[in-house]
Amino acid sequence: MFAGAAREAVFSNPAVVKRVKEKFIPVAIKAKVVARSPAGSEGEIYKEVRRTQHVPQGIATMNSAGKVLTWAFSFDNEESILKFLEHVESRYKKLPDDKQKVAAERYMRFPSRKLADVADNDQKLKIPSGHATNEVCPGHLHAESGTLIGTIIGRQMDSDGKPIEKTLRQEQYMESRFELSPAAQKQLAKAASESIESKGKSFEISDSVCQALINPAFLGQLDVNPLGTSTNWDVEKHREWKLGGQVKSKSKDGIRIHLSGTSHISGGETSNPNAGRYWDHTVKLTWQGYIDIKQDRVVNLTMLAKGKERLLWGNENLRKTKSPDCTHLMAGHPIDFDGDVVYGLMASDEAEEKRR
Amino acid sequence: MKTLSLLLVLLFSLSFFQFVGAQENKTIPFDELSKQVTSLKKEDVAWRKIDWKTCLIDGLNESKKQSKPILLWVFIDRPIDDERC
Repeated sequence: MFAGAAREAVFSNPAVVKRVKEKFIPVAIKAKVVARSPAGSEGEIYKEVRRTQHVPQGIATMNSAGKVLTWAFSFDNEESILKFLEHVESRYKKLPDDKQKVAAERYMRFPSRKLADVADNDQKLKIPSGHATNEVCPGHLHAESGTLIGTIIGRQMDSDGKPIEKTLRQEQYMESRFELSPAAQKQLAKAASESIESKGKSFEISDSVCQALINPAFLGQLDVNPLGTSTNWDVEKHREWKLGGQVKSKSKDGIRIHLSGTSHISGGETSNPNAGRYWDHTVKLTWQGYIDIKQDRVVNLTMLAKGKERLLWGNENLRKTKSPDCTHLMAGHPIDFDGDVVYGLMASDEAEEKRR
Repeated sequence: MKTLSLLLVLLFSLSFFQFVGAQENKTIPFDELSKQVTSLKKEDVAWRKIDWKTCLIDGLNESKKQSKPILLWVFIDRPIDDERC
């Protein structure tokens, strides 16, 4: 939840955005890269981040020698976010490099809840000028060769059936990427070819293709995926979907199929509504769209899904709190949404080529 | 007579719901569907205004060059560009 909350409550604040752009070098990295530092001098820099951190996620600041200046995990109020940035600028002026010892400051909440500093370990970090040609940056997104990578957009709808204009929170507006593996593309191509051989009979879309499309179609943060994630997989309560395909056209350029069907997924963690993690999420959608296939590859995918969604996030304590979102970034804000939604998925091998 | 009326009401209801169902599943032509999907994306969102680097080495070299501190956001998944977080 931390990342989504930080994005909404900290890095969408116009004054903070302005200050960060003017006075800082903004870098964003995955917690797992810090946890499993790569080898070599780059790995030593990540180890410095890990050595000084209090929890896996947070906002750190560093000097140009890779030494951590100050960590913050939340803030007293919106004004204190700017005060934190000013504080770091002032520390950087005094400690821009490794000529002096640098103790890493840590704030559970800036500035009122300070944790113990972590003393300098006297290690001088070597900063490489860049990655070697055969080296992959740990910040690079990996995907199996031949994977089709697309974008899914999710929006809440208003009572007139139009998407709402608000985009700050992920239960209002969601953007994410989705992937269709080479194996799933081959299954789809095979089913479409067999359909042509059997004179255009409609065919069932395989489970792996359905899952690739349906799994990312939900509003809210990563934690509330009804089908679970790599960190909370044991949450699923219901999964039911059926998508069918029909070949619409065939030419020397490939095959176009029309897909349609429905999905109903549900999941949550509802064992204790008073404390700890509490959420409940149901998504029911009607789907249709088009997929273009060339040989055994999907070259274009356009899907639209509309339906109903019910999302609850936050235990009773979180629902009662009146303090600003930036004071509890680890918990996020409570969500109680019940309404109409729309999703659009788009992917093409041309867009994928540009992305590379 | 009562049974016949009930039967007619039932038949009417069935036809109505079949009509509604057919409307919901009506095939949308490709161009129209594509337009609907594309129009969902909003470019001007508040959280996309910071140009985050994803390479720490690149960031540190830039920090030295520009004499500016690094702001390092450590998170699960990728909230900075095209990922849910």
